[in-house]
Amino acid sequence: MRSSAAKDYVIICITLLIGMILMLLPMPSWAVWLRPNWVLAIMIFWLMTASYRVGIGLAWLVGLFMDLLTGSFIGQQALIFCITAYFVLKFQHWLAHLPVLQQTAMIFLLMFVDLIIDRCMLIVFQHSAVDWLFWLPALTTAVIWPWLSGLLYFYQIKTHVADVE
Amino acid sequence: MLLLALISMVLMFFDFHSVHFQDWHAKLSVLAFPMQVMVDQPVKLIRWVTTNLKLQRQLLDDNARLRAQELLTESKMQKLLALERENAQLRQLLESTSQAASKVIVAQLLAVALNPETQQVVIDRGSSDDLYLGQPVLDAYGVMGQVISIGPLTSRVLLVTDIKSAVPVQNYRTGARAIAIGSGSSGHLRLINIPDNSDIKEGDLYVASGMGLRFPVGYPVGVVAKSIREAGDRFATISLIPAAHLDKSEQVLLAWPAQASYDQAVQQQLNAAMKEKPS
Repeated sequence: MRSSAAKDYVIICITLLIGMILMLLPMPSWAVWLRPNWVLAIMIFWLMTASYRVGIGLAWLVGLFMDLLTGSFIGQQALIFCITAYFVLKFQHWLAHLPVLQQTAMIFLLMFVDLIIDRCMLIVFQHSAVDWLFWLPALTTAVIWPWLSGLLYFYQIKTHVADVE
Repeated sequence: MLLLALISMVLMFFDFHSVHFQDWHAKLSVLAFPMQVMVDQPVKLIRWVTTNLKLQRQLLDDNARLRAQELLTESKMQKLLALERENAQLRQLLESTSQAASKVIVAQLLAVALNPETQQVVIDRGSSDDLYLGQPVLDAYGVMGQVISIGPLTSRVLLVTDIKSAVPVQNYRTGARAIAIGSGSSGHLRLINIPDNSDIKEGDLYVASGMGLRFPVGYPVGVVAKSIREAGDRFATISLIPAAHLDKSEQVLLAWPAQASYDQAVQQQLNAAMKEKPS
């Protein structure tokens, strides 16, 4: 049974919205750097499993909205989202069929590259007073990945998002 | 991909350099408002519920303590009123205007987290409340920061601990002026260009000096926590703990310092100087 595009988009948007709420929730000050990049992780999942619904364009738009939400320069997150989307789509089949642990390692690598790009932009905008804590989100995002992808996979099967058959 | 990446970079460039674009950015931030409210409201509700669950005993204790405190404050207030009157008279003698804030409104902080790379917060007042860029934001204990972006319903505040923030300050004890810049992490500020031999002790209070006409004169900024003097270094490393409760405050004050009166005062002085000087 092939599900309709509109329904798929609603379901994908719901998960992204939950991710955004998780990104905005206030945390105690010792934990601000521990926050995983929820929205990007959810985006990667959908890029991997529903690539004919979600593409680089949507990733870019979501990134742009994240810029508005988190108060960074407009385009900062957007750039990171579209570069990530490009790499995920390029290695989509290979990534999707990796065992969980290796997949997690790849996510860590991706997030690390993202943070390097982010860091470069911060240096360009003369806004880098950050120390080693800056790299922590790569680790935490990798830590949540197996659970997040498992949960989303379960959700995807239940709601028949992007059923090809 | 390349096209979108290019667009992002161009957007970032404009956001960094163009004032008009930053204006648009501030206006667009209204799109983020529903999300922010969606997060803010439940968090506030939970906080409200937990505070309401405090034991009655504790409330009674609090009540007794606060009553005692009120008496004390009241008595101090009387002294303060007398001092204020005296001060006003003295200022009149010196022909300068009082620099107290003329108008103040209360704003709520939205309980949303922003990028941890920046020390910023969102408040629920915007251009409809006549905020202006660079407006000082205070809480009951000290200077919190300044308004840097004004949207229709919300605004962003740069806290004093942000790396891009600099506050002209003055030592309350000695009167020596300095500049306090943010360290990028919540919890402390640094004083820059302080000579090694300057008279600064731990526990000294630094207040806004009013240089730069941005922050209200005499409002607390921070207390010296550490002063490190290295033998080979010409400058001392002084770190301050911000006086404002940056992590805990939920309500903040937006002040309109009497800037017009500064200008008038400067004008008067100039005129007086011109008259005295035979041209």
